[in-house]
Amino acid sequence: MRPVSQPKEHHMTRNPPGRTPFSTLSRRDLLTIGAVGATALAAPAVIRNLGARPMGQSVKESYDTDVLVIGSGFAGTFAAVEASQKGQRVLMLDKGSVGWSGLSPWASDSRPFDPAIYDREEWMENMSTNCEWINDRGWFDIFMDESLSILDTLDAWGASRCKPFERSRVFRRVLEENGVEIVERVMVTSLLKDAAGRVAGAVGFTFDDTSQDCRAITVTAKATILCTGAGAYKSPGFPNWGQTFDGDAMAYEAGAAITGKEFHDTHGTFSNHSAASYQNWNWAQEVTGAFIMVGAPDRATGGLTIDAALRASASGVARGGGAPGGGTEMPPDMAAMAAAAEKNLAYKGKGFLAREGLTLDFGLPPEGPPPGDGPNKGYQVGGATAGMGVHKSEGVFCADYTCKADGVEGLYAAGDALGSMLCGASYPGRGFSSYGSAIQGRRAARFASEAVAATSTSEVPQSEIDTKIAAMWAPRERQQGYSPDWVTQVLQGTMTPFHILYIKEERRLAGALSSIEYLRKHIVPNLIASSGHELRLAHETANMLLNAEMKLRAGLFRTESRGTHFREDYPARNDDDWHCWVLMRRGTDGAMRMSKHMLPEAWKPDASASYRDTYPRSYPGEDAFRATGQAG
Amino acid sequence: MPIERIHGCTGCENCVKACPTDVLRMDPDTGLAFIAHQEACQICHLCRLACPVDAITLTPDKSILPLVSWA
Repeated sequence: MRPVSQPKEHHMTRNPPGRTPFSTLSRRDLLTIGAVGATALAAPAVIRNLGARPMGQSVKESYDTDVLVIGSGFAGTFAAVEASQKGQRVLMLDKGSVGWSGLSPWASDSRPFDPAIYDREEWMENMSTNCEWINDRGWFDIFMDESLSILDTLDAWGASRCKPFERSRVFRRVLEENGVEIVERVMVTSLLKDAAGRVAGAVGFTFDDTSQDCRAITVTAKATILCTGAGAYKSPGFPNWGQTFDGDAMAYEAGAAITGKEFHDTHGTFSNHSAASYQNWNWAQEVTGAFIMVGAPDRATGGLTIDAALRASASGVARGGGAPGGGTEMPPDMAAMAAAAEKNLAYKGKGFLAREGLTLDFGLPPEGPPPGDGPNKGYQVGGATAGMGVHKSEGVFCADYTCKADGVEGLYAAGDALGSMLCGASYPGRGFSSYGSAIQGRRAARFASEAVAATSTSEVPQSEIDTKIAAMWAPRERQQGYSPDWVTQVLQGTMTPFHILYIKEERRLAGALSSIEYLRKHIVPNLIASSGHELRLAHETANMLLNAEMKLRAGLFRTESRGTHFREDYPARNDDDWHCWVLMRRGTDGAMRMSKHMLPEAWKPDASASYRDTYPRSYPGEDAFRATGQAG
Repeated sequence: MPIERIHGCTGCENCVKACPTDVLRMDPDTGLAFIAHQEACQICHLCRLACPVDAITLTPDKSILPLVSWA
């Protein structure tokens, strides 16, 4: 368990023995340490930033390019290669390094649609049922049109049959072959706008200050594509601590609408070592190639549901002699598994699955299971991905399949940073995420390249760059305030309990929102950072808090239940009022503005079908609530 | 603890690049990787998988159980 945060001295970056890093100690710092040592017993409410230092003279690196791609996973790699092949100069920034950051290192499932062997109507129908009818059917058409070509491209690159961490090397090789300039280990904090109000690049900083101090990175670009992935609240049990909704946060500040925040990812983990995320992902190493799912998505299996949270909320399960809350002791549904296996076998050997080398292989990884994986990992628990939304559903809203942020020129998004609603209100099983990201990355680059060709450039005012860089350095310069670690712990404690994020009710949501608003208003402006590492955490923390406000507000706004959005006080679907997406946009007064984006009538479920056939999964209290006539 | 130690590092820097959360840094004096921010380790094992000489030891123990067990 992490230590409980207490008033404390705020120590600098841990260093190798006998060595002092370039950036962290100065004579002034040493004097400060002496002074704080004497006052620490007074237990100040805020802590002194022992690493505070003026950053105004920091080295600035500036780049100019046609297309800036932020993030280098599936979406970013396909975007950068496509833009380059369209003749653009491309620069790529990444918070980690190519193919290693975000969730891309773990991606292994894919479900390419092969029109030669599959039924398009069946796929669309099953997808819509699982995604509870607010999935974007246009995007799924695009997925079914283009997913096979993603497989072909990965195959041509040599990336379809290697392990995920080997794929990162393939991505780098392909990017280099296409002349993409790569700048890695950069935390991007803000988008830049030109004099005409178009997004025209970004600023960020190098956080590795071990051998040289942090540098400000400025990129001016004619188009910017956010491939920044999604995020979570650095939640245990899922390997996405590097993802903190950075793209959403920057786009929102730039005026973009954000959507999909009321829906959740609900992966679990194991009780005995809940943060050992690798064990969830054995299968990422199991296969000799991309794990090609076979067959149509099963109808109404539900994919990633909120069942674990519902079990946790049911007294007697959570507090009985069995597994603690969220833990499952239910035996697997052997009949359903057997039926699925039989169905898959029927497809095996057809179409692309017969291609040499692209075989399903359920063997164990040759190096064996990771340390700690074994029979004592305990029972499954929930909340492992708290904060994460449904793949491809949450993020920057685009109204027209161009991947351009609605209402903001020059800004595009793809992959988990794009709120495409490909997967609607619930992730429908497996196999849509990585290829969905690749398709969207390629598409974003196509439209961005066209826009670049048609756009005359405008200068980014120096004052804009200076202001954004000053805001970026501020936590590093602040003499006292609140540590990102403490704020993140408060955020986790506020949001992760099942009765806040997953089992929703108006007053509980409002209570959590009140706390999150306080943190955003009073604490975020006083975050401190004593090192480059912590400066990254400070910005990540601010981004996570913005996301928390979005998730709570969207949860309050949608007064119905659907997919992974369950309102105890509105426990039924309401197609009359809520066959829509919820958009959030920053108002001119700085407040978050909510609106509905109604969906085409043609996307509504068949009115002649029974409610239970349309929505096979039921919520507690749903039938009684519908009987009252309040469900719409 | 999560990442425990690096023993036998050859200085290839693969693990530093593979870590998504800035746990590892290169020591400019020794030319070897060191654990700079152990508390940021999410136990994803990418550093271990990236290391060509199997120099990295991780343990699964980083219990944050009360947060996720929901009971």
